[in-house]
Parts: sequence; C-alpha cells; structure tokens
Amino acid sequence: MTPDETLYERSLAVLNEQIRPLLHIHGGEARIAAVDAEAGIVDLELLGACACCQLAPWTYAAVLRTRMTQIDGVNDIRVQGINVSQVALDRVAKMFPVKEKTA
Amino acid sequence: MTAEMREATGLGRDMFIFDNVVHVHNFDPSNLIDDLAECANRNIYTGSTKTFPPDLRFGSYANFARAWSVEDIHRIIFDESTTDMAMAQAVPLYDYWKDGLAGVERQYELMKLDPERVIFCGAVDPVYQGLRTALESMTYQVEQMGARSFKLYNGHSARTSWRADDRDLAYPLYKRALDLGVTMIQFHKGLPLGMEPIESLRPNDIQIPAIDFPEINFVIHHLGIPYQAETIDIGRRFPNVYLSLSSWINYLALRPVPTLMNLGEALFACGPEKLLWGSEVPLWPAAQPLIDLFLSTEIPPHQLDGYAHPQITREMQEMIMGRNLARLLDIEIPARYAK
Repeated sequence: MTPDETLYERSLAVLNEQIRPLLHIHGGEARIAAVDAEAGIVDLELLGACACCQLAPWTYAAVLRTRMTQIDGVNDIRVQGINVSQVALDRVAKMFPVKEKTA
Repeated sequence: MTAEMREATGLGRDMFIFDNVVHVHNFDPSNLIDDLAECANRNIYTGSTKTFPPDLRFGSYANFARAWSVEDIHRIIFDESTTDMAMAQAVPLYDYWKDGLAGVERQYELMKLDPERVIFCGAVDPVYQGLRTALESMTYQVEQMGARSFKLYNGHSARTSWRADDRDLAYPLYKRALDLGVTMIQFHKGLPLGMEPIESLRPNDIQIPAIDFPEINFVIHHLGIPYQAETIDIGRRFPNVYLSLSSWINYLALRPVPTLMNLGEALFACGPEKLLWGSEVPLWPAAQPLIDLFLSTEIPPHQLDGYAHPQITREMQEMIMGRNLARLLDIEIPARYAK
C-alpha cells in the first residue's frame, strides 16, 4: 500500500487480481458499485453468471467477504441482493480466518 | 377494531403501507354457478377462517357468504388499519362465480370511492371470455376505468386451464397490456380454490414470458404453494418477477414454523426488494392484526443459524410493506414517510 492509494484503488486491485479471475472461469463477474471510505464499506455488484447463481451467497461469504475484508481500511463488504444472516457469515469467516491486513 | 384499539397497536403508522391485494368479493349464493362453486365457496371460507385467531373469525358461513360492499373493504383497510394505499384486484373465475368472484365493476367502484388511495387492477380470461373479448375488455378497463395492472387466473376447473407461456392465448394479453401502458401482470399460482388441477397452478410457466416480455413485471401470488420452492427460485433468477405475500403470510398466526421458513427462504433467495405486502382483505377480515403480527415478526435463531436466513430489518419491512409496489407503479410516497 502506498500512502496515496485510496480505498477504492486498493479494493479494485484485490478484486481484479484475486477474485475476478476466479469468477471468469465460469462466466461470472463482479464490480465495485460504491465505496464508503469513512465507514470502510465496499459495495459490490455481481454480474454475468453470478447475477442469478444459487451459489452467489457462498461466493459472497467465502470468497468476496473473506478476501476483501483483509484489505486495510475495509470493515465490511456488501452485495446487492445477497441476504445472509450474521451468524452464518461469522461461521464461514471462522473457516477462513482474516490474515494480517494487506493491500 | 376501534380507533382507540388502533391507537394502542397500530404498528406501521410511521411506515408507508401499500396493500398489494384486497378484493371486493361476492360470495353470495346467488353468485354461484353450480355445486362445484358451492364447494369452492366453502373451501375458501374454511381455509381462510383457519388462518386467523378466534376473535376475528366470521362467526358463521352466512356472515362470510355475502356480497361484501366497497364500504366494508374501505372501512377495514383505511379506517381500521394503518394502510395508506391498496390495490383492488378483480378476480376472473367465471367457472365458479357468475361475476368471477371479485367483479371488475365492484373493484372499480372501490377505486371511485377513494381514487387517491385505491389502485384498480382489472382482470380478464381468454378462455371463458374468448381472446378477442378479453383484449377488448383490457382496453376498456384501462382507458375507461383506469386499470393499472391485470390479474390473471390460468388454472381452472373443467379442462379450461391455459398456460402463462401460451403464445396464442397469453402473449396477446401481454402485448395488449404493453400497448396500453400497463407493465404489471399478476398471476394466481398455487392455492387451488376448488377442483382445478394442481399442476395448472405451477409457477413454472412464468419463466419464458418473463424473458420474452422484459418490460413487464410479473407478480406471483400465494407463493405458488405447494410449489413454493419453484416460486422462490423463479423470483430469485428473474429480475422482473416479484412475489406477493398474499394468503401465505396470513398463516403466521396459525402455522408460524412453515410460514417463517417460507419467509426466510424468500428473503434469503429473492431479497426484500422482490416481496410485496398483501393482506387479502376480506379473506382476512381485519388488516391491522396481520400488519401488527408481520411487523413484530422476527426470523427465529435456528433459521438464522441453520439456514442463513437474514433477520428482518426496518429497511426490509419498509420495502415489503409499500416501497416496492410504489416503485413498480411509479407512485410517489407521501413526504411524511421520507427517510
């Protein structure tokens, strides 16, 4: 992370480098819809094959959320149309412990 | 419910409530076609009576089997509940009831009684009326009566069912609706009222029309029960398919476990953006107890844990109770409810 990098730029880097290639394998896609730098919340939109996929809640909980909450400054990830209980998110997060915050 | 009682409960008074479905029904015996219709009448009476607490019950079949007046429905919805707006939906079940059960003119009369708060939803049937007459009636109902939507029943008794994806019978209705500027088509799915073949009420035939007519928003009523899994899956995958809570949410008091499971599944898979509040008054003879019950409902811990169902938030309630339907009909929400 460089001092000039914004939260948007850091989030976009992780999305492009770590997540979108995985989604592209099966025709999925994701983009950043909004970033609230003050609250540390990144809103994502799932597109392509992910848009109406039955496994999208798992992609959100196990991939998007676990990887992107490791970004410095990110407190939570939200995806429009994904409605999952906090207790379920907490359980999945335990399977993928957050490592040291990184860019 | 008296004004004092409403004051005492009255949940939702600080929330915009737009009821997707009320009917000015005519269950009077003189409106019945035959003995099968009498069975359907009693089936609805028995089924709906089961869903609400004893103090709200009709008391007798005679109290139920009558021509409910527009004043009855207006009083229940607007004087005795915190509902702000309601859609009066016609019912075109001409195989059982002479006027279809909730006749077009009677729903129109409710709108005329309170045009600021009532939206008129018309109805036709391309088999019982014939396609040409149904199309002409759609034009009349929009241009002369102000219909903003159409309610369709494709499941019928006596081999007269038709499919929502029938290119010859159903598609002309959708095309005419669009020509008239109507973008909301609603289907009764599941919940057979009498001897309709149950498979005629599966929601699966909504899928192809939802693709072929992306400008139309299709509303599926009754969760298609017993086909709730298919209904929820269709609501999840098709951006222009919405689910009304009509009749199935009414079971919250009697059967909370399966009803909360259906609600949790719908919230998890489709999201609150896809759900529309519908009381089914007068099948539920008082709207406010149902509003109170729903707004005080929480998804139980075992569903949060075991099914990942989301907890219902105030924001979700606002979407379900009125904001979604207002958005679909391009209706401005009163300023007092502004966030």
